[in-house]
Amino acid sequence: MKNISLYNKIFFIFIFSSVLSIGGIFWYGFQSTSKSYISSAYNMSYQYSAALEATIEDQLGHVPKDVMYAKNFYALKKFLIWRSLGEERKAKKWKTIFLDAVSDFLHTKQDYYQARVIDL
Amino acid sequence: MKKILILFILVINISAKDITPDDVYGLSVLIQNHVNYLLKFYNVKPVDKSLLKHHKILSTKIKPRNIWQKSYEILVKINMLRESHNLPRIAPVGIEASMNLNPDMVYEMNQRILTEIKIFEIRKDMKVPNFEVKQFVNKLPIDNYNVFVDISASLDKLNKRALTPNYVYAETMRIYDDVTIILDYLNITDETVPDSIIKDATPTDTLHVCMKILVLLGYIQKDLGIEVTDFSEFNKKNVNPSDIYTLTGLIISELQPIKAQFGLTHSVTPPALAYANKKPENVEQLMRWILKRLILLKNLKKRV
Repeated sequence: MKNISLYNKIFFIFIFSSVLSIGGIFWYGFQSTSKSYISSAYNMSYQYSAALEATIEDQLGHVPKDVMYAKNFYALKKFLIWRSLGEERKAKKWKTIFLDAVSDFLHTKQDYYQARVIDL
Repeated sequence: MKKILILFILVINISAKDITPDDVYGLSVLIQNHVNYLLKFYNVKPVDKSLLKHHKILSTKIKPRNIWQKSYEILVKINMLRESHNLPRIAPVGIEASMNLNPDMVYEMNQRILTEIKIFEIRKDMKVPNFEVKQFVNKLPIDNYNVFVDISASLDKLNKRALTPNYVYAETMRIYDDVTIILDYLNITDETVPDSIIKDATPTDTLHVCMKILVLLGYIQKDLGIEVTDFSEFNKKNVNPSDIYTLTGLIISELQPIKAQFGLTHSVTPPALAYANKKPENVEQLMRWILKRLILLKNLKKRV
């Protein structure tokens, strides 16, 4: 260390401090850019998810309500009552009314391709 | 003067005949004579007097609408007679609802019954004596009803079978449809469901439900300002499907003034359809459901 000239010492100190400061600036820039990119990507993803959720909600959200409406439809209830009583004529009449209503519903709401009533 | 005389004669001729309860009774007795002749013709023993005594009505203030329904029952039994002799069935007629059925309508129904019996006699090539209409005085609707009870029992003997639960179920269904007409008119939402079937339910169980319905109909009629009839005399022991059929007729007849009060005069009770394999428990279950539906008509006064 004693053999190194003052000139060289100053040169090394200059180089070291220069590299250190440039490295610090570079590291800080990298960190903030990285954070910014991640935040931006997250925001984009969140917005996309929200939009997708809204689309799904819009397209499928009414399905449970529609199923419940069909379940509580008066003609279906009447059909089930008369069928349980073994009264085929009345059961057939209410079944026809119910199926006509379901058919009309499918024509009105284009979201559905097919409706199947199991065990009818 | 000659013109006035001709006009007077014309007026006398075109004036409608006033039909009295005595005329209706006379025609009913004529039908009874024809049915008794049929019993003799087919060597069938007449109805047991004690059985008739059991079915006859003594104190109920029977109204023409109740007699009309009893005559409907006789037409149904004539159909059974036709069926057992390989003749096609003819649907019994229905009548539009009215507040107070005119005795003329019962007379008309008697004419229909007499015609049907005469058609049967002709089809079976019988040499029937020429029965005359007898004149009676001071006859009441209850007397006429009791003649119908006799005729109805004689037709059971002639048919060698009483009305089955299938027929009773068909009439009960007519009650159901009549109640539906009223509920629909009043926009009453019917959320009722039938209770579960009671296995081995007997006609006596159905009779108890029928009596409850008749009492309830009385309350509804009272609310609507309609004169109420006490049918408690019909609450008898040892009942069979034929007795229940009679009660269904009473219920249908008592629904008519209620329908008429709402202006549903053109709503004729739908005709009975043919049913098979029905048992007393099916009738009892349906009747209990009808009772539940009629309870929806409670507090009708507030709606009128």
